[in-house]
Amino acid sequence: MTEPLLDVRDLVVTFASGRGWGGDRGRIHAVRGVDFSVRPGEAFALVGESGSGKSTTAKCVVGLQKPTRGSITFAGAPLDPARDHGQRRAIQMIFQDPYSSLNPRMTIGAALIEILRVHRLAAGREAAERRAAELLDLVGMPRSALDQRPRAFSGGQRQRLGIARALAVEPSLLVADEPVSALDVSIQASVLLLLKQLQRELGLTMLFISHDLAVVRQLCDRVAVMADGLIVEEGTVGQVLTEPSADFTRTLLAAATDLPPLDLDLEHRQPKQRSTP
Amino acid sequence: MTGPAEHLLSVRGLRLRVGDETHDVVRGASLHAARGEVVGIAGESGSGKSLTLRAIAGLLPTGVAVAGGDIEVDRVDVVRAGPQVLRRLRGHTVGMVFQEPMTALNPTMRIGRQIAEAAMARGDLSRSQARTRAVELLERVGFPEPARRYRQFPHQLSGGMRQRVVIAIALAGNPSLLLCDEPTTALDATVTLKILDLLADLVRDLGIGIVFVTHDLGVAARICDRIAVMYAGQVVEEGPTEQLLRRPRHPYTLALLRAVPTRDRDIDGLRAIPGNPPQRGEELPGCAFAPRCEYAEPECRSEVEFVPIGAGRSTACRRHPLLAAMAGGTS
Amino acid sequence: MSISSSLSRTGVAAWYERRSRRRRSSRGADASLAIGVAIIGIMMLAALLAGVLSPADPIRQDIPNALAPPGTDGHPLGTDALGRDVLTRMLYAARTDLFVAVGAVLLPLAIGVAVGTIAGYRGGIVDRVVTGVVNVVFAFPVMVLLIALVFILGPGIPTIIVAVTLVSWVSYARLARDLVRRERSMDYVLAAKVSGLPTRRILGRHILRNIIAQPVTFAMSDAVAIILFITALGFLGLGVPPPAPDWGTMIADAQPYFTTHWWLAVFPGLAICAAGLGLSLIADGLSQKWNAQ
Repeated sequence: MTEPLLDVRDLVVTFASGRGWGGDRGRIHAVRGVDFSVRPGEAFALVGESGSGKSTTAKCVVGLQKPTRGSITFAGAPLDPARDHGQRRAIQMIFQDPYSSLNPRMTIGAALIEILRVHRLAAGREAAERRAAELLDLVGMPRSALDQRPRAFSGGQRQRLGIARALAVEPSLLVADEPVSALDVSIQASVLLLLKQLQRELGLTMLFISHDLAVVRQLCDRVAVMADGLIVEEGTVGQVLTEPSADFTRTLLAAATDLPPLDLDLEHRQPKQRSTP
Repeated sequence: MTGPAEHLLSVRGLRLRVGDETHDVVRGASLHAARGEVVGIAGESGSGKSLTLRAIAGLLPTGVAVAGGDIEVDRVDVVRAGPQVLRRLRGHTVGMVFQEPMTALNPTMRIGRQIAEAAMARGDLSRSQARTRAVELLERVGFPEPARRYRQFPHQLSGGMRQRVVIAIALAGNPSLLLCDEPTTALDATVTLKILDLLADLVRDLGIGIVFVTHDLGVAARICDRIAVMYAGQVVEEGPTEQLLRRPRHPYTLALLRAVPTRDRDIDGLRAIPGNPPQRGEELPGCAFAPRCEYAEPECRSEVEFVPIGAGRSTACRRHPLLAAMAGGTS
Repeated sequence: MSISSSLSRTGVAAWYERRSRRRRSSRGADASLAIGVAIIGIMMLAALLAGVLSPADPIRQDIPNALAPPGTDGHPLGTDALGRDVLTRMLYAARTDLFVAVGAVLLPLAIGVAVGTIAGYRGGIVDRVVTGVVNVVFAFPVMVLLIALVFILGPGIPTIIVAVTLVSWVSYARLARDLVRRERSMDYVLAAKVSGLPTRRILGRHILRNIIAQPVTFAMSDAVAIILFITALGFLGLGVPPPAPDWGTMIADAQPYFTTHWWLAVFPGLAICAAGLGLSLIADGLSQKWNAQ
């Protein structure tokens, strides 16, 4: 058994609630005791509906949310809320909303170079520029993007840029919070394929947050299903999708909208095809 | 084909133009819907699906105008109707359900009163009759204890219950056509399912027709009898749901279906659509999808025509026989 | 509830509105900015070149030629009750008033934005303390404070700047705090945090850059208010001590002659209006330009 890269034990997060149902002012228990671990090189999914606590859990892992209780261990060392430079660098995140996750007033190049220089990953400005250009190659964006601001790009392109930023510091764990759910269907596929390719090429370890089991099926090895701040079921993606054990998982699977299978022979081609674009 | 009496809605060759632009944002959309039928308009953002829906209700945003084509709802000519006729149309014939139930409701008003107000807008109910009607409607859309829930405010409800209130408001004027603009997009999957069930019940029990705009083919597959697929302002394909999704006759529909992640195939079966959707205002002679289409031939760049191909289906692809030939043996 | 009232502004509609607003406003914004900058630029230039432009001495009295009407030889705008050249005094007054306005705007702008940004970003106890102080200052009567300060520090330009700063930094602090609170939950700020950027950098390079437009715009319109405030102080005798000229004092001195010698009050009055108009146009242009981005 390999040592887990990330180990979360008994994680609890409660918020003080300002407003509640009909004057009921109390505490919201967003996460109520969650355990899971992610092994190096694997893609682990947290799946659930809104309010299940999956995003709060992810925020605890990247250090944007302070746990009320519980421990998070990363590469054998405990992760305090006040992390050191190296720990911050090791865990990176891609965000759901490609429109708000890039600083609108900074060029892509400036944003990437800033990160590279703060972490001393490039000696000198030229090296940083070269590395930034390589990062764009890696996510399939043209190098001309370096001089442009986020406004110039579509949602899918911005998501690629967000991935480039996360990869800039060569993290050991990538946390992806619903990375395709704000994108159009035809764009989703290309971002998922990019993530898969990065997974294969870089051996990325991923914590993947999603509400969509079909998306999880594309990228992940294991999945934990969350409801009301608890993990109700955990297993390999194949197991959970085909033989769910928890009632909630069954409900979720029943609610997933599926498409009837295509009844087309895609190999059937006429000799005359493809006018070159 | 269907007789005029059955045509609750018919849209023919609709063209919409934004302000002083020289290109249309909707460039020929045709659609029809009968009572008791759910017709989906599926497409990605920028396809013109929501604008087409708004045009049907006579609710185009400022700056967008009909540049051509006809819309007829229950024998009312929406394109040429005056404001008086349009208001009557919206009160009586057409109800509308929106994507964001929170912004579609007035946060400072009890939900029951909001429904009663909509019921009174029709002009033939007294205050107390409207109240009774609102309670009935709350029950109809699935509120247990409707009399008590009447007094609740929108913020006291979950997203799904709010959407039920929006549906109740849309039903208040006894419409025969319900226009739904991404009504489940803001909702969780389990909640979506319940709202879709409710809408299906309404179609069956009240005999209304629904036009359902969505970006989610899975949702469309679940509720729609027929689907019209839009791309870059054109309806590219229309037909009965099952046939359209299993044996698409337009390469865009096919590409979209292959780009959707599903539970029964892994990522190696996923195909991204090459290229990007056209920019707004881009010159698009012929088929808008041709630049991204693997089946395109030079003629596709110059002409496009939306034609019936039998069995209640229509397509805008001149190469549809090729797709027909690919269809498997199960037909 | 009617259907139209609940139409959410999405998709093409919102895009079209934004775009047409942007188009309309970018033309208007450019015009506003150009005119505003021209007015203020000319005034500043005139103030700087006061010594060259006007051969007269702003405080030299010339009783025999007192109350000469505009157009008199050597006195294009006439002379005041002590025979001092009105044009000369106005030019020197521009120095005082514009300098004080700039100082009394930049200082509170810098202090307020810095305090507000830290309070908004840190939250918690820091935020509560700052908010408390801001509320107290907001409630404090400005004139009382000013009179007290004049007693302590003695009248003069530094007193005015200190007094205005003490009072008006709170507006900037509150504005910056609210903007930062909104901004700090944006994903790009979270992303910067996750990237491990130091807090100083996140505040300076990321948050401040995105929120600074509003305080600066506000400062421009605030400068108008401050010029009016300084002139009001001059009028009350609490402002720039005589004999140094300032527009407010000039109008105050002209009080006995309002009906008989109109030019004494009208020309400084026009200068105040022009400065106010110029700054307002700049503020307007800047805010439209920034909003459009």
